[in-house]
Amino acid sequence: MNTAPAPFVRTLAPKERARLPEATFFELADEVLADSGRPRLGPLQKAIIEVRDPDLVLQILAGPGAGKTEVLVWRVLYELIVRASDPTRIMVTTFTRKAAQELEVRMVERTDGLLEVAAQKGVAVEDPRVHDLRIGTIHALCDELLTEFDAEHLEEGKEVIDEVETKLRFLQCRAYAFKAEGKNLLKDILALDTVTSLFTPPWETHMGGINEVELALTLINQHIETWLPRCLESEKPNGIETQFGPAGLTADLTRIQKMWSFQLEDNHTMDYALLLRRFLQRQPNLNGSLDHVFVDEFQDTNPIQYAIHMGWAKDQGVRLTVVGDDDQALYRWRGSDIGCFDNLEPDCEEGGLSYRREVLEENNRSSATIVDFARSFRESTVLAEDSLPKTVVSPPGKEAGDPVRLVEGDWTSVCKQVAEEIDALGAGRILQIGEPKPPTAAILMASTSEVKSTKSTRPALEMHEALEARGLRVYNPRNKAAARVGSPVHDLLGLLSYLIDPVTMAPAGKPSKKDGKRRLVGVWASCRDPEKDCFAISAPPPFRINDAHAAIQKRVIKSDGGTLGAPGPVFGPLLEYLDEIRDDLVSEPEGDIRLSIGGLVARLLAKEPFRSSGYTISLFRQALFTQLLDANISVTRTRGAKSLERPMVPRREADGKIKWPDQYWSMLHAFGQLVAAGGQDDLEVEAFSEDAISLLTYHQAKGLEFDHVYVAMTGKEVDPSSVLATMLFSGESPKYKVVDDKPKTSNREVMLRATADREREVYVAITRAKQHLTILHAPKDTRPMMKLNQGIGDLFASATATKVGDLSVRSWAP
Amino acid sequence: MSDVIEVSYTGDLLAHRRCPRAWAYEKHVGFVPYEQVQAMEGRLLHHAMEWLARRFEDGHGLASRGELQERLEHYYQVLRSRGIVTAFSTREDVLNRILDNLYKDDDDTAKLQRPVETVIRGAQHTEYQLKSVKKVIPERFAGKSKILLTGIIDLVLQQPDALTYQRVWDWDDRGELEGHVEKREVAAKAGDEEIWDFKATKATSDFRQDYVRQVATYAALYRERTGKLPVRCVLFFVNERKKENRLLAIPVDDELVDNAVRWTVDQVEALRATTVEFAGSPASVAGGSLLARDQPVGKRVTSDLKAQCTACGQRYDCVEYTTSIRSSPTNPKREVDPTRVDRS
Repeated sequence: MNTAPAPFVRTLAPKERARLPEATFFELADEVLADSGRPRLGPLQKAIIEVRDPDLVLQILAGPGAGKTEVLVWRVLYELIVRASDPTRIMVTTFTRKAAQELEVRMVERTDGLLEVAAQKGVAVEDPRVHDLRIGTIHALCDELLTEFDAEHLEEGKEVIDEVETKLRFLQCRAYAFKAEGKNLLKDILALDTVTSLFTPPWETHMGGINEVELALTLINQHIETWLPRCLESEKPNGIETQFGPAGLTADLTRIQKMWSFQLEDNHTMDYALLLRRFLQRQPNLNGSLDHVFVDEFQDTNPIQYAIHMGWAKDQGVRLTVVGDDDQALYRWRGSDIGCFDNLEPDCEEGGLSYRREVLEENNRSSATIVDFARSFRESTVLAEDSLPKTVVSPPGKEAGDPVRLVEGDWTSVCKQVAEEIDALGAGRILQIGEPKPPTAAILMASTSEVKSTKSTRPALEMHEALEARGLRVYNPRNKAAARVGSPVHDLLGLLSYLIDPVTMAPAGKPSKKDGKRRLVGVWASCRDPEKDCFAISAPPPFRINDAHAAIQKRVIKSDGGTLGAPGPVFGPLLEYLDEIRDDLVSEPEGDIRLSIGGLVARLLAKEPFRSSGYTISLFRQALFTQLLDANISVTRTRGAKSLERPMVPRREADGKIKWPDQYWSMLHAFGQLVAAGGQDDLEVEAFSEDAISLLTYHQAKGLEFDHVYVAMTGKEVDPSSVLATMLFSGESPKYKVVDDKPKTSNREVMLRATADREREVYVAITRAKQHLTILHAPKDTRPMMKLNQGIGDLFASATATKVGDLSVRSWAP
Repeated sequence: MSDVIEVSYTGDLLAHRRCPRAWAYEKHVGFVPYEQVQAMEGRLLHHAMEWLARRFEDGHGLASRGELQERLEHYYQVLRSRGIVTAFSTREDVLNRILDNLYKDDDDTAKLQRPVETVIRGAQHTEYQLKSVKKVIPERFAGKSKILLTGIIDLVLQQPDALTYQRVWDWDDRGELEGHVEKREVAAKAGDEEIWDFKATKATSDFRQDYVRQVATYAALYRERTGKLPVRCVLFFVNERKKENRLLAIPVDDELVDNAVRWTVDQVEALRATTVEFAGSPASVAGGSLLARDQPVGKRVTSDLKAQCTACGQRYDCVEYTTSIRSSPTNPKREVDPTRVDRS
C-alpha cells in the first residue's frame, strides 16, 4: 500500500446538544459557588462570563487575587452549556503544566457541582464533556493540533524536545553546524558584545553567569520569536545592525536560525521556538478546527505567540478571550513583550475586530492591609505610569490582618529570625498521616542561586542553611548548584568518565632535574597530547572532544581525600567496580554480557554513597542525573546500532587499548560541557516541594500563594538589556553602548520600561502573601541585589522601628 | 505545595499495586527507568483500536490488515523516537502479534475478527477521558484535601448487533470487589451501552482482579459525567490465544460501582502512606506486588510482575528481587536474564 494513512480526526462527529438558558445557568452557578463557600457572581463577573455574539475579542485585566481562574472556568462552561459548543473546538492555554492541572481540577469541580445541583433541581443538563477541552501550555497544544490536523506534521512524527535535550543537541553540533564560507557565523556573532550584553537573565549579576550555550539558544529564540513575526515580511533589519553593524548581521542571524532548525529537523526533532514557528506557518491548515481560544497569563505573550493568537481571531474568526495583568509581566528577558498585551485593543481596532475589555480589581487572596500595601507600592512607582489603569482593592468586610513588616539587620541574623518564625509555625517538616496541615510559608528573592564562590556566600544559600539548621526542609530548585562538586550529578558523570576514559598516573610529565625521570602525571585518552594519551587505557576518540569530563572525573576521585593513584574510601570501591565491569565487557564475547549505560547507572545508584542518601536533595539529584542521562540517550535513539540504549561493546585492540564506540565519546563531550558550564537547576517535582519551605525566585512564585511570605532583594539595579533586546529585535533602534559587558542607555522610554520591569517583580512577590508579609533587608550588605527597593523604603519611611534582638522591625498599616 | 493529589489510574494506582518501590522511585521522585517494559505493545494496541474506530467513523470503512500495518509501522517509529522500546520482541514480532489478534488471517487484505469488527462499528467514543475530583480528609492523606483521579476509557460502545460473551465475571465479595471468571454465555442486546478496556496481557493475568476494579471505577465516573451507568464493562485481552477467553463481561450496578470508587480512594490512601514511608527511608520501601503482601519475602513477585522486575532500575538492592529472581546474589556484574533489547 502506498497511500499515506488518513490524518486523524480526534473526535467523533459531534452530536447536537441541548442548550441551557442563560438565566438558569447563572442560577445554578451561584448555588455551586455558595456550596464552595465562595461569593455569588456579581454583575461584572456575569458580564465577563457571558459569551456575546458581537464580541470577538475579550480582554480581561485581572489584578492579583481577583479570581481570574474562576471567571475563566465559568466562561468556558458558558460556552459548553449555554451555547452547547463542542469542547474539542475550545482551547485554553496556560503558562505552565501546573497551571493547566489546577485549571482542570477547577473545571471538573465546577462541572460536577453544576450537574449535581441541576439534578437536585430536576434541571436537565447534558454532560459538557469538559475532559475533551484542550487545556495545556501553548507548546503542548500546538503540537497536539498539528499532529491532529496537519498530515505532513503527523507523517514527520517529529518529537518536541525539552530544554535539556535542546542544549545537548546544540553542544554536539555547535563546532560544525554554523560554518559557512570558511567562517563560523555563530561564533562571530557571539563575539559581539553589542549582541551578547543584551541577554543576561535578571538574576545574574555579571556576564560570566551565562554560558555560551544558553546565550546562543536565547539569541536564536529571540530571532525566531520576535524578529521573524515582526520584521521578516518588511525585511526590516535588526536594530543592532542599524546602530552598530556589521552589515549583514540580520541575514546572518536568519542563516544561523535556519542552520539550527536544520540540525533539529534532520534528527526528527524540534524545540519550542521551532514548534511555534512551524505552527504559525501551518496555522492556515487548521482553519475551522477551533471556535474559541482562551489565553491565560496573556501579559507574558511573546510576538510569535501573539501572531498565532491574532491569527485565530483575524484570519479564522475564532473568538479570543485573554486574561492577564500587565503589572505581573515578568518574562521580557525570555522574549515576552508587554506590548502585545497593551496593543491588543488598537490592533483589534485596526483589524476591524470587535473588542471588549473588563477589569477585575478585587483582591480576595490577601488581607486588606497587604492589598493596601501593594496598591500603595504600585501607585508610588512607575507602574502607575506604565501599566493600564486599575485600582486593586479588598472586597467589603475583608479582615485587615497584621501589619506588613520590614525586618532589617545583618543578613545572618535576618536568616535566623526567619527560620525561627517559620519553625514556630510548624511548617517545613514531613507531614505524617493524621497530622493537621500547618500554614504555608515562602521566601522570595530576586536570585536563589546557591553556587558557592571564594568571593562571597550567596544570600539564598545562607537562608537555606539557616532553615536547615532548624531541621526544616527547603525547596529551592533554581539554585544553579544541582550539578556542582559534591552533587550526585557531578559524581555519577565522573564515574562514567572513568569507565570510558579513566585518568591514570603515568610517567609522561616533564623530566625531573634530579634524575631525569619523567614525572608522574594524570593521563587520559582524550587529552589530545600524544605524549600522554599513549599511556592511557582507552584508545583516543576519533574526533576531538571537550575534556571537561576528565576534570570532573579528577575532582570526583579527589573529593573523598583520594588521589589519582590511590582513591579514597568513598569512591575507591566504585572505581574498582568500574574496572571490573570494563574488564568483563572487553573480555567476554559480544552478547554475553548485556549492560547498557543506563543499566550501569542503575547499578551504581544501588551502591554507596548513593543508596543511603535518604529522602534528601541528593535523592532528587540522583533522579535528575537519570533524566539528564536519558536526554543524552534520546539524542542517539534513532541511530540504530549506534544508540546509547544498546549494550556497551568496548573492544580491546591489538595494542591492548580499549576502543569505545563513538557515541560514548560524543556523550562525554556534550554531557561534560553541560555539567561543567554550571547553572543546572534541580528538578521541580511535587515530591520535592511537599512539606518544604519554598525558597523561590519572584518568577517562580507567580501564580502561587502562601500564608506567610518573606521578600528579599527588592532593590536590584535597573537593567535595560531585555527592553533593548525586544526593541532591537523588533526593528527599532534605541541608542545604547556597552560598558563592562552591560548595555547602558539614557533613552527615557527604555529606562522607564526597565524600571517598571523591576517593580513588577517586586509587585508579584508582595502579592503572593495571603496573611503575613515581611520585607527583609540587610542595609550594610553590599552583595549584588541586596538593596532595598526605593518604593518599599518610602512606604516605611515614617514607621517607627522597634528592636528585636539585633534586628530592627518597622510596621506598615494603612 | 498543591492541595491536590493527581492520580492516574494506570500510571499510579495500578503501578503502585504492582510494585510500590518502583512506583515511588519512578513516579514519585522522577527516576527514569532505563527500560520500559511492555510500554510499546500496549501503546500500539490502543493506537490501533482508536485509529480503526476513528477511520470507520470518518466514513473510510473498516481498514484491512495491510492498511493497519502501515499505520502501526509509522506509529512504531514515532514511539521509538520517544524512547519507548520493546524489551523482549522485535518490531516484526510485536506488530504481527497485534495484527494476528485483530485479523482473521495474515493476508494484507484480511478482515477484522468479529468481536473487533463489532467494537469498531459500535464505538461511540474512543479514548474517553475521565477526570474526577474527590474531596478527602487531609489528615488521612498527609495534608492533601482533594484527589484528581484521571483515567481513559478505551471505548464506549453501543452494541450494533448482539455479541455473546463466553466468559462472565461473578462477584464473590461486592464490598471488596472480588470475584472469579465463570464460563457462561451472556448475550448482549443490540443497543446495550458498554465500556471496554483493552489489555495487552493474557486473560489469566495476575492483575485481572485489579483490571475489573478499574473498569468498575470507570463505570462510576462515566455515570457521574453522563448520568447513565453502562449495562456492563468488558475487558478485551487482545493477546489471549484462546479466542473464547478474550472477552470478559463484567456486570455492574450502582451499588457495585460506588464500592469501586470507595476501593479506589482507599488505594490512593495506601499510595499516600507509601509516600510517607518513602520520605522516612526511601530504600526501605519493599518491592513486590501489593496483591501478594501476605506472602513471605521472595514470594511477592507474581508471574506477570517478573518481566517488569527483570528490567527494573531499582532491582539491584531490592530484597524481593534478590530473593525471588536472582540466582547468584554474589555476582552483581552479570545480567542473568535472557532479555533482548529490540534491535530494529
